[in-house]
Amino acid sequence: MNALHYLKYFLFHAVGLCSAAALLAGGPWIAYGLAAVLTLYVVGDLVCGDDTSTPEFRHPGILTFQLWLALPLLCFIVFSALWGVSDGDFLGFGAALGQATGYDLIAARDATNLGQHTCAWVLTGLMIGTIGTITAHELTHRTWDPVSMLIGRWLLAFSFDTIFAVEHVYGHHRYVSTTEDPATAPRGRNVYAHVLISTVRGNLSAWHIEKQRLARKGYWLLGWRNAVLRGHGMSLLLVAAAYAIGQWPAALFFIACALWGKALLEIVNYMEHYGMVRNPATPVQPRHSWNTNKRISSWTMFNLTRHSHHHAQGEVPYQDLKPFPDAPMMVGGYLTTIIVAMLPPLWHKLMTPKVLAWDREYASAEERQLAATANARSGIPALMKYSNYPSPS
Amino acid sequence: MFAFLNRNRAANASINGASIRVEPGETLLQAALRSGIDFPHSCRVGGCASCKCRLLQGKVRELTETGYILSAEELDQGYILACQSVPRGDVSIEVDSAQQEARQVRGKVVAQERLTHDITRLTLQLETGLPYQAGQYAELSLDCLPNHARSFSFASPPRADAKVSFFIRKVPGGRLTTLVDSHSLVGQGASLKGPLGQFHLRPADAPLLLVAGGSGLAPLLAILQDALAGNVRRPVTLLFGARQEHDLYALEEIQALARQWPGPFHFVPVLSEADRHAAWEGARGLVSEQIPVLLQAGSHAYLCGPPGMIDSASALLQRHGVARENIHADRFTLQQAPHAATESAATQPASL
Repeated sequence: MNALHYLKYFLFHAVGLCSAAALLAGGPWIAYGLAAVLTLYVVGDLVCGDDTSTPEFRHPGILTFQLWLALPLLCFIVFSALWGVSDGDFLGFGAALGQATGYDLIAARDATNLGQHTCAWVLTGLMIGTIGTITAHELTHRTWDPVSMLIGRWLLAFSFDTIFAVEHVYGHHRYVSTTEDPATAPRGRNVYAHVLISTVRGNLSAWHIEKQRLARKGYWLLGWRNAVLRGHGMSLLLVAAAYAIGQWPAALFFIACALWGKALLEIVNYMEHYGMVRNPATPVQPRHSWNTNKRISSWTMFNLTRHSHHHAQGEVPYQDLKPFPDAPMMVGGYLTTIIVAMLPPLWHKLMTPKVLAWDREYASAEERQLAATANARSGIPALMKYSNYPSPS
Repeated sequence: MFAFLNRNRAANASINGASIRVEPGETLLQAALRSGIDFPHSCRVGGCASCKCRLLQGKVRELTETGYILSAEELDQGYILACQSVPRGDVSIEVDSAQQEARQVRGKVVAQERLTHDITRLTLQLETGLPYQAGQYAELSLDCLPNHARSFSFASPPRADAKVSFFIRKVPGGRLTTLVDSHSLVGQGASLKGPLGQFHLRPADAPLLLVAGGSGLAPLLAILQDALAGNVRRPVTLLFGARQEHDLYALEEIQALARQWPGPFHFVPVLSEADRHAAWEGARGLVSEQIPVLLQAGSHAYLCGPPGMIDSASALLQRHGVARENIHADRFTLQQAPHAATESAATQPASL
């Protein structure tokens, strides 16, 4: 039934609203909310299987509207989180909502302890990463649509990552799975190093791309037309807004959530292209990305999971992306794989055999040579055994 | 966002002199690849300039700011990015190294499915994408049987995951086809040279009469699946000739096509050697004998199969008023000894 295919993408919004409710309810509810979200993703992906459907959508405008809704939703979630760490009651919000619902938000907030505030940080950053960045990824690919671009960049501002709109389309898609790409993790690197290295190199790359563009058009480098500068300005505005809501506690809390949200994006970059190699002069092929077809991850992340098709045909809107069941597969759904990535010994234990299998089954002859070099540099003994090309059988 | 205000229309694009049709809203790159032109490209999102070409005539709507990748001089000279350009009316462009000749790509067998007692569907994962038009063919050679390339039609339209499939019928005495019939080849390396051939659907409104004999269903199935995706609504009559009932295959795919086809779709399997007492209620005899009964006025015909079937079918069609230029045929001839491997097996006249 086609209506269900539209409705399934509202699961995303439901998760967001529940998170906001948990943040507002305060106290132990924050922890329950975080646990519910983690359970939905991890257990949901374990038991609900794959979604490999490719329905036809005759009303793509509805889907675009669903994407645009992410901005007001994220504003509400982050506002709720910031209200939860402030001392005052910005605009009397807590009192008003308390009267309307009969639930004493202010008392609940006063009773929230440090552990619960930490859960709020984890939950808010998670929402910035999913509701914010993942939606923004889809929107900032639509370079021909100024409304989508604007909404997308504001979503990215919540994780100080507006540069993504430049670097991802004009950098990452060009150099994906090569050594030129900041977002592709070479074999052997752990995820924490990658978060730092990719953030720094990504910003440098976006600056470089934007600098070239401004020079080509004859604009000033340090003017308002510089999308990198404008974007960071947008993020600063958000920090200022956080300060207005709850002074330093809120501003610092926002910065902490934003950085955690940004780290999540880099963890996802890490997972999607870890260990892949390619000659930059050859076109991107489906084998150059790690995928998953897990149902819950696919629905709540707008088919970001169908990553191979996305790179093979970057212009295709998310609803038309196809699952490639024979493409390289991640160890699990997105949140599961994030957790595994954050435990490097477990990550390497699971991924090293997968990477070696990739060399055998997917890599072209030229790529096997690149892989041998990558293996030699990886620092992982099981990979370094295969440092010579042709590899020992 | 306001794209609905901008009614996209189909257009013609001339690429290095070759004219192709661009569907409404399609980019130049999408149209070129769909027409089987090996247009240079890589990232497809406007970041790498691999698809850079010069707009000689006409106007395009650009989907991204080309200042990201093209210099002021290039913009002055009329350079555009094919993957980010949607024609506004007819256009003419010039690009370096857009190949229309056949090239060689590597691949690996990833699936092998028996369809009948002597026909196997072989699926290959290619290392690089090979643009082709539905209806064309390629020369396939397996690493385990070098210097033994044989021609087979693509059995599906081009796929985003760069997989291709062929229907391979075991020919008595044929080394490649016997190998495919008898041994599991999954994991084997292979090479393809293509795309080749002029057999593809010509745009028109006329009803379609498609006649397939044996493994000749392959290019017709590809053409139909491609046409369905392209919203073709022409009435279709598909005649599928085989010897006995167990020689019919791909029936589910044909039924799926029939279900989804937006216009009339008439599928007629015809058996030439069905046992008189067999429970076969369909048509019997030679497939071409069904043509006079089913032929609609003004039809265009596409025939694929053994030369005998093609010759008798096309003679019949011409006797019944179908113009020669509207009869397109793909004759499946048998290739001779290995030393003749450089000649392609299926000679492909565009029309008879």
